[in-house]
Amino acid sequence: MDECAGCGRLLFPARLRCPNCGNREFRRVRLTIGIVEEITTRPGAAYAIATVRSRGVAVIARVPTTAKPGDEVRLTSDPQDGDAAFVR
Amino acid sequence: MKPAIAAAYETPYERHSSRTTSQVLCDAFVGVLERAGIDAAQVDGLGVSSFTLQPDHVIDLAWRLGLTVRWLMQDPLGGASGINLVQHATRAVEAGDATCIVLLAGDAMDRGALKTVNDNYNAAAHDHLAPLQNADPNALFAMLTTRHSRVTGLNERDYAQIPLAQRRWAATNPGAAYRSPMSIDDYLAGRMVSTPLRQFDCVPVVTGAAALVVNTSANGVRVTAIEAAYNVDHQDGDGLPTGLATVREKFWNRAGFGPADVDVVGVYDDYPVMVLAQLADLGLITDLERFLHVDLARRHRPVNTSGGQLSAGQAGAAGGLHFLVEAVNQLQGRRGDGQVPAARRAVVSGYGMVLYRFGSCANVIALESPDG
Repeated sequence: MDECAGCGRLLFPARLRCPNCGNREFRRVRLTIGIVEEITTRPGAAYAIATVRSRGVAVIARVPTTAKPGDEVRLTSDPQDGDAAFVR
Repeated sequence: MKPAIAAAYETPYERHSSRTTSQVLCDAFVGVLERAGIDAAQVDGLGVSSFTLQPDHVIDLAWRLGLTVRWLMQDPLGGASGINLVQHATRAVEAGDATCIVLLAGDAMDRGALKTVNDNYNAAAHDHLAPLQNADPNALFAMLTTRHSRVTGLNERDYAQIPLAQRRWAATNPGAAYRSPMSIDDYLAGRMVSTPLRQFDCVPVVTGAAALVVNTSANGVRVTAIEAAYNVDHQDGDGLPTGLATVREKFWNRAGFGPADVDVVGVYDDYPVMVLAQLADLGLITDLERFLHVDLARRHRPVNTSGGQLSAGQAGAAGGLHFLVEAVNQLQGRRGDGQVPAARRAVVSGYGMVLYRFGSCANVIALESPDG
């Protein structure tokens, strides 16, 4: 995730300019944990899709079908890590 | 010169069609000129919205349609494209940049084409959603429906009233993909697509095109207001409300009439929840339950009288013009069995362009028949 070097705002997906302060410099920060807000499942699918909030930012993630709203989940960018919330 | 919408036309919406995108756009072009009683030689402007026209652009389309023009526009805004095209076309006619503009929108769509469009919708979808598999609009609007339900307390039988009411209207639209009557049991028996959304909460994918003629016809439908709101929250909110809430007051001030005076409403219906969101944002409904279970059933408030995309189908970008075509046809008394008696004033809203989590574009137009 990008953190604005000007005002500290976290942004995902990446922007060209910070919508808050207009700064164009960003630091990459790694988020490791989030809370599941909503989840949607489809019949026969190996994984579910969820909205996961981490440090105030909502991301769309692939999660295990057993995940529930309110669960704390580990965030990963590794698609092989099936137990975590996979965010690309 | 005072701009007006002289005529509207839509091709039949077909599932599993053999027609190409440019063929259906041509079908709509020929159809709308015939309806307007205008010769192609009079056309001096062309606008188009289509997801699958590539590698062609609007100038290629003009060439292939045999047109020499002095105004061109190509719009990529999906569910917000129709109103955006009309906004620019009416201003162009007013300014004298063109005198007779044809606006076209359509796509040859099937499941494969739709997946390609969705996965490559923008960089964010390509980079962050497509790799997750199944993080498509159905999943995103399923979660948006869950958020709406949490706030409003509505349940699946409440939301079902939207597709059920629209299916009743679709029976009057010979071009609709789904026309057979649907009961609540039929709706609940629909396959689960992405919880809580079922089959009939999602638009059937079809091939087709829609068209309008914007010129200075004294008998045309008049545009009294257009307002747009794009990227109002940078995707930081919950997707509810839409940008329409930010322009409601300005819109009604300019429209020259109020919510109680509207005879026909068209609301972009990619999903039932978005119909409720836009109607609420525009102040067209206040009591959700009463609207769903009384007003819709008794047609106190005619909404999406073509059957909408949920029943008529979504022909890609044609969805952006679909509700404008229906509104113009209603105001011109051309809707046959689906005609709303003495329809004089219509409001149509557009919505779309998911940036990451929900739609970012919303716009709204007020239309009035020439005899006001």
